[in-house]
Amino acid sequence: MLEFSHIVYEILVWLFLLYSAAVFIIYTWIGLYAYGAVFRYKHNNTFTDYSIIATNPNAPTFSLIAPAYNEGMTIVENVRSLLSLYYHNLEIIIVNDGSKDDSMQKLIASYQLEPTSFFVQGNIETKKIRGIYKSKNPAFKKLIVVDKENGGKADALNVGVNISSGDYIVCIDVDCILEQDAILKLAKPFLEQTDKRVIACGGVIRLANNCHVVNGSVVDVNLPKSWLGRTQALEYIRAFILGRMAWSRASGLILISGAFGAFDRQIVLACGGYDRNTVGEDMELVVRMRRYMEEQKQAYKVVNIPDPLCWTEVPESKEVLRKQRNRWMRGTMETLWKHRKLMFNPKYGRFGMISMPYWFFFEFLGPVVEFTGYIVFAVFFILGIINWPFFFALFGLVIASGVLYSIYAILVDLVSHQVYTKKRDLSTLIATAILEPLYFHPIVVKASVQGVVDYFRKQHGWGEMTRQGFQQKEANESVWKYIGLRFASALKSISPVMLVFFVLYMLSIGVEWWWYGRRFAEIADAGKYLLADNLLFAFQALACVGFGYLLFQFLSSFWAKFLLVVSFSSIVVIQFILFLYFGESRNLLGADLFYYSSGEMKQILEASGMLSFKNIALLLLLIVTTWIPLWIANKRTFKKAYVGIVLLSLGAVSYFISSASILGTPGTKDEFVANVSRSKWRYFFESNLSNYAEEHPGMLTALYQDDDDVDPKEMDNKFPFLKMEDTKDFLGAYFEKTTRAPNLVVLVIEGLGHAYSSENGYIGNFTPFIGTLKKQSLYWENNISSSGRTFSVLPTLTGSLPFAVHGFLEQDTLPNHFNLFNILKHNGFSTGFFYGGHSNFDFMKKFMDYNKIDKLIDQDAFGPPYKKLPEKGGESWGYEDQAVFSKLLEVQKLQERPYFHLLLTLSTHNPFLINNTGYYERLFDQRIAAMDFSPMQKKWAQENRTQLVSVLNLDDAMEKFFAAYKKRPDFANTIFIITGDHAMPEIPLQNKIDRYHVPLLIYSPLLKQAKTFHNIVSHFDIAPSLLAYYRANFGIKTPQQVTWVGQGLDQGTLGKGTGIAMMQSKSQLIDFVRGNYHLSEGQLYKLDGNLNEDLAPDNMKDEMSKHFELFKRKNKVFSTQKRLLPDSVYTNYFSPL
Amino acid sequence: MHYDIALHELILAIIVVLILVLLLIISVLSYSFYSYRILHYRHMWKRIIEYKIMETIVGGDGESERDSAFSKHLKEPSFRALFLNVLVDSDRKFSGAAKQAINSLFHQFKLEDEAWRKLRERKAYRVAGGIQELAAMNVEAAIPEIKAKLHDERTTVYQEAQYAMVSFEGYEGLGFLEHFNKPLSDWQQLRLLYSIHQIPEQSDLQVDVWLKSTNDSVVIFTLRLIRKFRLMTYYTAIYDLLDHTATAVRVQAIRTMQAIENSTTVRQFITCFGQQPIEVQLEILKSMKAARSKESEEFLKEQLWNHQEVAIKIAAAEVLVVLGERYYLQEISQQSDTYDQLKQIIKHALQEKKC
Repeated sequence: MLEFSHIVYEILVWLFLLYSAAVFIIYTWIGLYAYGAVFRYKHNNTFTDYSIIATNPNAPTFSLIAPAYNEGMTIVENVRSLLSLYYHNLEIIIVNDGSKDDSMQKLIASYQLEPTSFFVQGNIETKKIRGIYKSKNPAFKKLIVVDKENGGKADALNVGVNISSGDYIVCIDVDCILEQDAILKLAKPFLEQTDKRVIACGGVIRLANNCHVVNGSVVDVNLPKSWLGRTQALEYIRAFILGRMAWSRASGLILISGAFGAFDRQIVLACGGYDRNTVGEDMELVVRMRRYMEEQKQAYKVVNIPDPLCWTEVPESKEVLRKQRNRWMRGTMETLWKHRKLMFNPKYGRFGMISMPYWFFFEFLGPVVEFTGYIVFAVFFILGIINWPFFFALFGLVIASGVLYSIYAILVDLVSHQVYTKKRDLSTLIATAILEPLYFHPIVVKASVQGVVDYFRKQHGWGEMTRQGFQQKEANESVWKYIGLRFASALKSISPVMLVFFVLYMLSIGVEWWWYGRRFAEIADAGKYLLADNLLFAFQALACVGFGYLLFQFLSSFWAKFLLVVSFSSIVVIQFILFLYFGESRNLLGADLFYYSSGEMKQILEASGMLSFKNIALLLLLIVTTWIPLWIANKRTFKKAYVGIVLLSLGAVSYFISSASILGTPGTKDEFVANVSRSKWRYFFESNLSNYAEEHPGMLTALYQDDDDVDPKEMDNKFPFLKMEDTKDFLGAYFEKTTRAPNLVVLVIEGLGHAYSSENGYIGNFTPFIGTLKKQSLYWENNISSSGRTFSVLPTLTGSLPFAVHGFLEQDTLPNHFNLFNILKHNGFSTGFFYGGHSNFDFMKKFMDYNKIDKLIDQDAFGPPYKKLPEKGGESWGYEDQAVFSKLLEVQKLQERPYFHLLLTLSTHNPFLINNTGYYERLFDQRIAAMDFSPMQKKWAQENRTQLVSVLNLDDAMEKFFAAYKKRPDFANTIFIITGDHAMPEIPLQNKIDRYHVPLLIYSPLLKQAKTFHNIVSHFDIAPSLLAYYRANFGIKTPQQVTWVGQGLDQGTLGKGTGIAMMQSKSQLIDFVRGNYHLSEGQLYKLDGNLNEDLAPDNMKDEMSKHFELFKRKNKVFSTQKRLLPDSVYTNYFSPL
Repeated sequence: MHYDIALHELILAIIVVLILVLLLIISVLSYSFYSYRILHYRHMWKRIIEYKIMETIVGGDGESERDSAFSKHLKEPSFRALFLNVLVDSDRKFSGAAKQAINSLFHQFKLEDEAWRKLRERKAYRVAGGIQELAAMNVEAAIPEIKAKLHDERTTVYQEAQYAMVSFEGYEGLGFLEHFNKPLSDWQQLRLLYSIHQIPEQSDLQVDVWLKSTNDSVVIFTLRLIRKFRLMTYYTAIYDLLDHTATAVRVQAIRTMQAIENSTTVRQFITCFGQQPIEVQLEILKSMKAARSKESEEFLKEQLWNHQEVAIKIAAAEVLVVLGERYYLQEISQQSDTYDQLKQIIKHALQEKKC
C-alpha cells in the first residue's frame, strides 16, 4: 500500500511538473510568435492610407450590430458615437433586446425614428421582432433600430444578422467606444484576402475606465484607478497583444471577442448565427464558423489585428469580476463540450489538433489544475511532507515566469502601439505585473473553478440546434446523460471480454499447476494457494484493466477496445512466460529482468537454449490462441450491463482482500514451495512496482522517513559509509611469518552453495576436493554472499562495497572507492582477472578497467587447445573451468613482484552443460553409491543431477589446478581464497538464507594450522581482513579512511556494525542479516549454528527493521550523491608512496 | 542506466531556470525603459520635424539656432529614419507647392540615400519601405530597380512595387498586369485605381488582353478600371464576360455594363438573367435600379410574382418603386388574394411607415 501511495504521489507531482513545463513552453512560444506577428503588422502598415476605402463605393459594406439592454442612460450618446464612425458603406443596427427602461423612447426621440415595414431576409430563428425603426432625418440614414422581445445577447445579435445587408457584420457591445477608424482598420484584412477567405477579424480592446471621453471619443488615456482595473488592463494587453496575435499568426485563433469583432455575414448565416444556449456565444460562433469551413474544405483565416480599436469598461468590483469570469469559464466549457468531436481530430487540421486541445488543456484546465494544486499543497502541508527548498524554488519560478510574461507583454505593447504613453503608466503597469499573481490571479482562478462547478451543477443542456445543418445531434445531450449512456454501453461491451479473460487466465493457472506437477515433487499443498492467489490477481487485473477501459473509451472507443484485448492477452501470455521461467530457473522473475542489457539478455536466452525455433513458434501460437477468443469476445455485447458490474465490483473488492486471508499462508518454510504457491504475475507486478518506488523516491522523501529510527549523526554525514580503518589483523596469527608479501589468488566459483559442497549441507558434499582442502584451510562454515546472483560478488568481495540502486557495478560511472585491486596494485602487486565468458557481462570489465588491472583474461584471450562449454541453441557461455584455471597458470609467469588475481568460474551456470559429461555422471553415480547420504539427500541429489554433475566437474578442475600449482615455486608463497558467488537458485532452497549460504576457505602453504570457524561472516568481511593482514605483516600502505560495509572475518555479522544486506536480484534489496537474525521480505528468522533458520519472535523485528532501514538509507545517500568518499581521501592515498 | 532524477538535481535545474527568468526580467525591464526613452525622444523629434516641414511649406523665420539643432539631430540614424517617415506621410497630405517643398527637404537633407539603402536590404518590409519612400518622393532614377521588384516573390515587395510603378507612370505603370499570375487583392486594386488619374489616349497597353486574362483578379481590376474611366469601347468584350466561370467576374461585368450602358444594356440584362446565379441576378436588378428603364417593367413584375428567391422579389419590388410603379404595388398589396409574404415584400420596398 505504501508503494502504491508512493507511486500515486510520484505521478501526481510529475504531472504537475510536466503541466507547468508545458505551460512554460507554450507561453514562451506565444511570446516569441506574437512579437513577430505584431511587428510584421506594424511594418506592413507604416504608410497605409485608409482613406482610399473610407468613401470608396467599391469598398465592402459593413453592418454594425449593437445589442442593447437597459442602456437608457447612455444609449443616445453611444449611438451618436457609432454614427460618427469613419466609413461610408456602413449600416448601424441597434437591437433593443426588450429593455425595461426607456431606451427605445430616447432613441425614437433623439433620432426621429419611425416604424418602417421591413422584410427580414435572414432565416436564423430568433425571438419576435416588435418593430423596426428608421430615421426620418437623412443625416441618420445609416441607422436601423430594432425593437424585439428579450432573448439575450446572442438572440439580439442574430436579429441584427437577419436584418443586416452588409458583406460583413461587426458585432459590438453598445457601451463600447470605437475608434473613429475602427471599421477602416477591420476592413483591410477582409480586402486583403486572396487565396484564403477571411471569415472573422478582431482588434484590440482597451479599458475605458478612468479615461476621459468627449463626444464618444477617448481623448485622454489613463490606467484605471483601482488595482483590480489595472490588473485587467494588463490582462487585456497579454491576451490581445500576445495570445491572440500569436494564434492569429499560427492560424489557430478561435476567439474573437464579443465586445468587438467582424465576421463574414455569408458564413455566419450558413452556420446559423450565434448559439442562444451558451454563455460563450462569441467563442462558440468562431469555433462553429471554423468547423463549417473545415467541413466545406474551404481555405480560410481568422485574423486579429494589434490596433487598439475599441474601448470598454471592465468591472472594478470583485463581485462583478467573479461573475464575468465564471461566465467565461462556462462559455469555454460549453463550447469545448459541444465541439468535442473536433478534439484531436486530424480531419480538422491544426484547428482540431492544436487550437482545440490548447483551449482544453490550458484555457479550460489551467485554472482547474492550479486550484487542484492549491488543494494538494494544503494536504501536503497538513501532512507536513513538503520539501520547502523545492517548494520555494518552484514557487519562485512560477511567479517569476508570470511576471516575466506580463512585463514582456508591456514591452511589446509599448514598442508597437503605445496607448499608455505617460511615464508613470509604465511603472504602474510593471508594479501591477508584480502584484497580479498574488492579488488578482487567485480571484480569477476561484471564479473560473466556480464556473466549472456551476456548469456541472446546472447539467447544462444544449437545446435544439436543428437549424444548423452541419452540427451533430450529440450536441443536444446533457453531459450527465451522455456519460451515463457511455458507461452503460461500455459495461455491456466489456463483459464478454472480461469473462473470456477470466477463463483463459484460470486455464493458464491449471497448466501452471500441471507443469509443476510434472517436474517437481513435494509441492502437493501448494496448489490451493497458487489457485487462491491467482484468482485474486485475476479479479484485480479485471478491475484495473476494466476501469481503465471505461475511462479511455471516452477518448476513443476503437483504441480502448483494442488496448483492452492487448492488455488481457498480454496478461495471459506473460503468465505463461513467468511460470515457465520459474519452472526452468526456480527463480521468480521480477524487475531484475530490466537490469540486463539487451546483449546480456540475448546471451542468457541463447545460452539457456530458450531462443529456439520451437519455443518462438510455441510463443506465437500462444499469442494467437489467446488473442483470437478475446478478439471474438470483443465483437460481442451483452444485453445488460450486470455481468460487467459484477465482475468490476468483485475486482474492486479483491483489492481489499489478501490471498493469505482466504487460505492463510503456506505452512512451509521451504522457499521453493512458497514460491510455487505464489502468483507469478503478482510477484512480477509488485517487484516492478516497488522497484519503481525505489527508483523514484519522489520530491518529498521525508514522506516515508521516520526520523525516530535514525541516528541523525549517521545521516548528516554526506559519506555514510566512510569510517576510520580499524580492522584488526585477525589472519596474521594463522600464517607463518615471511619477508615477502604473499601472492593472493581468489577463486570465485559460480553457484557454489553450501548445500552441496559440505557434509552438513542438506544435499550433501559433491565437492570431494574442496572437502579435502577445507581440512587444510581456514574454513568458514557459515559464510554469506551478498547477492542471489553474480552481479555483486566482485565489488563485495574485493571492496566490501555497498550496492547503490541495482548493484555497485550498475552505476553509470563508478565512484571513487578502494578495493583489493587498486590498493594492492598501488603497493606493487600485479593484478589480473580471469573469466571464461564475456567480461562485459554484469559490467565486470568496467570494474576491471576502473582498477586498471594488468591482465584481463576473458573468452577473447582463449583459443585452442582450450575448450568451450558445450553450446545450447547455438550459443555457449564461454570456456570451461579447466581452461580458465590453466590459463591463469599459463599467463602468470614466475615473478618477483607479488600478484593478486581473481578467477571467476562458469561451468556451474545454467544450463550446466559440461564437456565429458559421461565421465562426471559416472563420478556422480559412484558418489551417490559410496557416500552415506540420507534418502532425502539422495532424492534431492537425483532431482538435481545435472547441476551436481557440473559441480563435480568444477571440483575436479580445481583439484587439477592445485596439483599443477603445487609444482610451481610461487605456490609456497600464495594465499588462495575459495568461495561461491551465491547458491544455485536452480537447486531448491530449504531456507531463505540458503540462497546466500556459500563456503569460504582460505588456503595457503603458509598456514600454520587449519581451523573451522562457526561464526557468521560474509563476503563483505574478506577484503578488510586481508588488507589488515597485509598491512600488519608486510607494511603495505592501506587507506586510513575506508568505506567497508564488513567488519572483518573475526567480527562477521556479530560485530559492532549495523549488519549486512543482501540483494536477491538487481532490483530486490530485501534480505538483511545482523547477529543471528535474518530479515527477509519483512519476515524475521533466527539463524542457528549451522545457518538453519526458523521464524523468530517479533520482539526483535523492529530493531532489525530499523537497522535494515538505516543501511538502505545510507545506501540511498550514496546512490544519490554518487560519491562514496571525499575526493581528497582518494587522491591523498593514491599520491606517490 | 539511471532513470532516477534526484530531487536535488531537480531543485538545481529549477533554480537555474529561475535565475534565467530573473535575468530575463531584468533585461526586459531595462529594454522597456530604454524603449520608453526612445519613444519619448521620437515624440519630441516628431514635433521638431513637423515644425521644420511646416516652416518649409509656409516659409519660416529662418532662426539659425533651431537650424543648427536640427542639423545636430540629423546625425542620429533613428532621427533620419523618423524624418523620412514623417516626410513621406506628409507628402500624401499635400499637393502643389507644398508637395514640392516637402520634396525639396528630402533632397536637401540627402534622405534619398536612406531610401536607396532600404531598397537594397533583405527584409521585405524594409524593401517595401524603401520603395514607398522613393515613389513618394518621385525619385525617377529608382524606376528600373523598382520595376525589377515587380517579380519579387514576397507579397509586400511586389505589391509595393506595383503601387510605385503606377505612382510614377500612372496608367502606363499597369504594364505588369499582362503577365501577372498571382491574385490581386481588393485592397491592392483599390490602391492602384486610386492612383490612376487618367488614361492617355495613345497607349500601348491592351485592356482587352487583360479582360481575357486567366487571372480573375486581373479581369476584375480591369472591369473596375473601365468603370472608373468609362471606357465605352470595351462594352462588347464585357458583355462576353457574362458567361465567365467566376461569379465575381460576372458581378463586376454587370456593374461595369451599367456604368457604360447603351440602349441595348437592359435588354441584354433581361436576356441573360435566367442563366445567372442569384448573386449576379441581384446585381442585374441593382443595375436596373440605376438604369431606371421602363423597358424592364414587365420583366420586374414577372420576377416579383414568380421568382423563387425572396431577395430577388425584394430587389424587383424596389426597382419598380424607382420606376414609379408605387401605385401598382400598393394596389396588389391591398388585394385580398395576394399572399402575405408578397404583401410584406411590397411594404418593405415601399418603406411604408407603420402606424
